[in-house]
Amino acid sequence: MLGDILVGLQNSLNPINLLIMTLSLAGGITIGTLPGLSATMGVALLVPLTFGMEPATGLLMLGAMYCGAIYGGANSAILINTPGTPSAVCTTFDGYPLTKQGRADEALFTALVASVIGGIIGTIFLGVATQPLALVSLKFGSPEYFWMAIFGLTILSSLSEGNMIKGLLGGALGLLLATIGIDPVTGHTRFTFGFRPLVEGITLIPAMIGFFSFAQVLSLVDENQTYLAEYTSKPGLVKKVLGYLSKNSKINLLRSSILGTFVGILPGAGGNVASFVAYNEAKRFSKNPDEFGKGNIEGVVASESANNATVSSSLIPLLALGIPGSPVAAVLMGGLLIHGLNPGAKLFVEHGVIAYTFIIGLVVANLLMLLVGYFGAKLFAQVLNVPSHYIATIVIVFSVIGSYAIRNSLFDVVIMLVCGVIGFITLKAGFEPGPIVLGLILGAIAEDGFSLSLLMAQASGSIFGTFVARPISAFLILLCVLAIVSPIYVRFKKNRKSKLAQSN
Amino acid sequence: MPMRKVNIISGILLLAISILFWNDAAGIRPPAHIYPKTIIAIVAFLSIALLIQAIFFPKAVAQTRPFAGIKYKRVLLTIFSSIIYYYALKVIGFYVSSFFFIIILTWLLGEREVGVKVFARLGTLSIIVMTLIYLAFKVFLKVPTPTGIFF
Repeated sequence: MLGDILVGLQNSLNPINLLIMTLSLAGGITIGTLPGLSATMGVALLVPLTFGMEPATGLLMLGAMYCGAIYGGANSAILINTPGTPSAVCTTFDGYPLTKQGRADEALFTALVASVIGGIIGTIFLGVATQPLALVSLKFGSPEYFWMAIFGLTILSSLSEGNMIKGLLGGALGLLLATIGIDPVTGHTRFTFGFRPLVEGITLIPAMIGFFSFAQVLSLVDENQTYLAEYTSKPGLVKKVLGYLSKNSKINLLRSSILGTFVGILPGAGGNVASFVAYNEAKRFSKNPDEFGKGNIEGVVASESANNATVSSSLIPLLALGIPGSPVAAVLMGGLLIHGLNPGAKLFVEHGVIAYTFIIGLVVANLLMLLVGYFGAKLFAQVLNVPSHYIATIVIVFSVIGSYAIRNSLFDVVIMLVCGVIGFITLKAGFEPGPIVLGLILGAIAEDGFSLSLLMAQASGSIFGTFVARPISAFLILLCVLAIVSPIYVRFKKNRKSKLAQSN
Repeated sequence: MPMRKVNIISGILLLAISILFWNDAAGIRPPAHIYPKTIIAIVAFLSIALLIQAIFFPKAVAQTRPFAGIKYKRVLLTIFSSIIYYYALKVIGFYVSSFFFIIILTWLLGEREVGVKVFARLGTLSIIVMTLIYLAFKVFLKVPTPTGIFF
């Protein structure tokens, strides 16, 4: 095994492999930055190119593309409040306010470093704990998925700035929108009100582009400012960000990366759920939770480290058990199969060198991303020097093509435009887009988990036994209770403290 | 319009949506009806809570006027231009309609100066953006774009 690891290290540091990974990272960052273009699309596109390559080189190229695309989503999230990928939704909460404060470069570089650290921590878990973690993921059944979605929804209370009822209502509305389309239990259509295109439901990415991107364009047009935000490149940025992260964000980085790793191994969960969970925990553990959503750099740290940690951990079920747990893992599985490599535990025995080259290569790719991402961020930050009416128009064109590209459907463009107009009106009325999109993301997971658990309960004859009396479910229920009770307790304690201070 | 009034209107609208969805859910066979009906009930409950808060506890509502000062002309111009752009995509195709859309909307939202230089600048911008999109989507990613009479 040690021999395989050393050869793997040697392979991943081969100049040709380094060059291929660098180019692939640059492509991945660009794809991730453009809303509507997904990591899956980028990786799928590269698979045919790996035909003529050494298997290890091909896998390194695919892995680098995956890392770059997930990180790239942060660029547009921070600069134009438009998440390039669904996993960057949480990055908008604090990233864009930081841009508005003239701290775009700080947010961009923080996102980069957090992504790299998250990616490396996730890869370390992939290397050392593949087998046990994969077995944990197998223990997740429908009830556990249901409770995990409920746990994700507990963030709604902390996303509700100003009026908590509106935050919860926004989340519930997102859950309601997610029910439009085909019923997962009976297969019948519901809530389409006779409008046939709605049978396929509200597609997440066009809706997300609408709520964040098109609504943001309308806000920009309404504000009518010459530039999006003040931006001048500041000297000493690298030192400042690295100094801050090493001094203040160690625990946040570690916690978010580990949370991202664990959420990432669960099939179907992915970077979007991971970043929401990590963001919520970062806010809960923070000494200044009120600053989240207003430009707290810790929010960017939590979201970006968590979503990039899922990159490697989402491959754990694939490499350990041969089960692709995410769309990208499925495409990567195709990449392995065309080279005659069968994913699963035997991969490490029969093709140890390739397996370890891939794992070590992911660490190298993350380190390379620091370099590629740094120059990329400098380039992308120049967007802020373009007049805002130019940006507004160009973002509309990208929103249209990004919505269309998912399913090649013009109806998705309609969904994007309608969600954008609704998003603008609701934003003005005090409903933030974050809770609505969170409801949309978790709605499908919650309903699938609930419906299948209900069928399991009917078969076993015990609702309690199915929903509660399972170790992981019970643990998740406990987390949900803690997530709901702890902010109330903290607020109560704070009020008491301030009352005591006033009386003294 | 004060936030209190906005909340009352939002509450009524969302309650109406809940009723609409509840009626539609009547046709769903058990046990598939439990989840959607629960969500509808939550939306209705929260809408009523929003109404109660706005009507009986006005001090708990932010004292702002959220729709005051909106530049309706600019916002509506952008929305209608985007709708026209959507129909143009279906008829003319993505590249040609996007080329004109960028020039026209950027001009309308900008200073609205008239002159060869202005349109030359906007035209150049549009050509650059469309070339980048063509290279990224058509050449490199091979992602289909909406087609019409032109490409």
